Amino acid sequence: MERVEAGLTPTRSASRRPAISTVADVALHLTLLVVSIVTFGPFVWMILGSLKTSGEIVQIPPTFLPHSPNLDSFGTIFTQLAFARYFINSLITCTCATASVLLTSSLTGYVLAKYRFFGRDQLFLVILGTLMIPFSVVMLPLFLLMKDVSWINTYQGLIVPGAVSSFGIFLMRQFIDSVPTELIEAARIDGAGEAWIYARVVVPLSTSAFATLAIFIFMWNWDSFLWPLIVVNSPEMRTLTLGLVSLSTLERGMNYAVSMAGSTITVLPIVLVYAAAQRHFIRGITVTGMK
Amino acid sequence: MSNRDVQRVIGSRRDEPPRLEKSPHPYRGAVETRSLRARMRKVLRHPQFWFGLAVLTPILAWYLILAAWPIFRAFQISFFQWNVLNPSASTYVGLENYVRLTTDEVFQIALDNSVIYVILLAAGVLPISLFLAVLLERAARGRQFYLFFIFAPVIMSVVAVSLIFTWFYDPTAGLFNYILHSLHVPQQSFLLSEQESLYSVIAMNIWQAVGFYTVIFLAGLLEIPTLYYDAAKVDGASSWSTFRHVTLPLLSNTMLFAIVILSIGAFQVFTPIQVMTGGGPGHSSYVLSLLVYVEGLTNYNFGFASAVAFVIFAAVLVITVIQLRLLRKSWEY
Repeated sequence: MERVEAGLTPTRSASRRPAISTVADVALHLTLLVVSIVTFGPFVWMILGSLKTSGEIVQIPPTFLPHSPNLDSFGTIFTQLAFARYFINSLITCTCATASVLLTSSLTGYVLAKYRFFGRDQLFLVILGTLMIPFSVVMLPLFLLMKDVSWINTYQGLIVPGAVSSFGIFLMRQFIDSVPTELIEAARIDGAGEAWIYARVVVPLSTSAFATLAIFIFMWNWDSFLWPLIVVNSPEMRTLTLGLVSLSTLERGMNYAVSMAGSTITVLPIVLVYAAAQRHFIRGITVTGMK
Repeated sequence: MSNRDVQRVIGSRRDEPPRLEKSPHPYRGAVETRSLRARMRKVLRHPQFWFGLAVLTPILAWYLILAAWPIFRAFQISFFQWNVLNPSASTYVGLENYVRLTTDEVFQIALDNSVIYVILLAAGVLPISLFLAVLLERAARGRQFYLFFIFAPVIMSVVAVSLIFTWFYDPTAGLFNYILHSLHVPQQSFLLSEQESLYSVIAMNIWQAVGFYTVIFLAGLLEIPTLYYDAAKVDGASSWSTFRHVTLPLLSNTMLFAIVILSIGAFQVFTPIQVMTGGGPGHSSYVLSLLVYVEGLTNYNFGFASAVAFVIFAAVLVITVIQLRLLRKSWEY
């Protein structure tokens, strides 16, 4: 595990083998460079596209750099469409859901990792088992439930079904399991209350798990599409992804420049976080993937 | 308190069970109650009990209301001709919704497409990811740099990526037809063609998913002890046979994990299909999740939609059970 972390995180780079030959090395790096262009190219193409005019973007042959870069498409989505509102809706939903998942996952993870009680391991297995439930199965009854409590077109309707995460509980339990029990016992002997121990011992020792989980949950909610599609039907409660899709049905035929501007607004915040904290994105996958 | 009572309060020791039958105490029941009560009192004095209760109660309530209840409800609805506006007017139809699955044409198309989706996505993603992971493992120096770009599609919103590729696939203004044209390949309709729409979406999904599995495989590769490679080198093994006989077998669990995660995800695919084709043209790119959504929330045919949903559930269960079986088998070696 440590070696994997070292190999995947930028802090230390473990060189395992000496370079075999220069020719093979050049071929290796050339291949990886081409692959990187293929995987990252569409992102660049999207940003460049969002700066083109609606005429230039459908021009054949396509231009790489925009002739006269302009922000007209961004103007369109923010003035003619309520993208600012969609952005705020997404921000509110994601922030609340992430905060809730962090709190519930860490508390439950702590209890499941460090407390001993009847049925604990069975409970953990059941929570893990819920990861297998396809969303298609629960989405219709959830929709009916939201209708019954009048939560259609509300923030709570968007947030509450995602307020607890089995993935989060799993991640936190695995992580808090490795927090030394001696520290918790010592605090208890010193007369610390359980909430104090959680806040002052468990939380400070699991900040990196918090960061990883926060990033993942925020990203998932930001990209979430199916549930907002079901629980929202009024334009002013749309999240960014719903707003994006509404672009394509807006006019006859799609204005690609406008849809690229919308995509840029949607993708850019996550990409910026990714650029700043790549390590956490990759760790989230390796930690959950290997256990 | 007698010695025995004390022992009962503390909790009986396994090797020496309290002999209740021979107890001389005339009110045996009373003693038991008292010890139980004492035990309860002890538990209730524990701050951990209250903290655990305070944490788990709302969590369990959430799971009951937002996971257990909906599953039960969906199962129930699948046996009804459900009336959304007036649920009490729903009629029980037994297995009719499930029987309809065997004859429903759109369901057949959606089922076929979902299976095709899983197989082609796996066939596309897994070899490419494994190849990239092997390359990245060798490129220790530039690993972080390349990984940043290769993983980037994974974090991008599926809706945004779907829109970007809709533009790329545009028959006249799209990048792909421009590239094909310069290679003297005739113009393709991609998303607008019944023959190509599903495959066009799968191709986009391959592009987006490769980075995720590359990281999984790379982590698996880095887990393999260097020792094995040294041994292979001493034996004079070629790099291909090292890969074939050392790397691949040691990577089998990672591979299995990747296949399961990928199949479960691909079997439930919804967003790219909904955004890029809407299931069309015609029903050519329908998948099961889209059918659940359309039957449920467009046609208000909740009973039939729930039956389709349980087909997805059954498939996911089967995939998971097979995985557990295979994992157990591999542990035996």
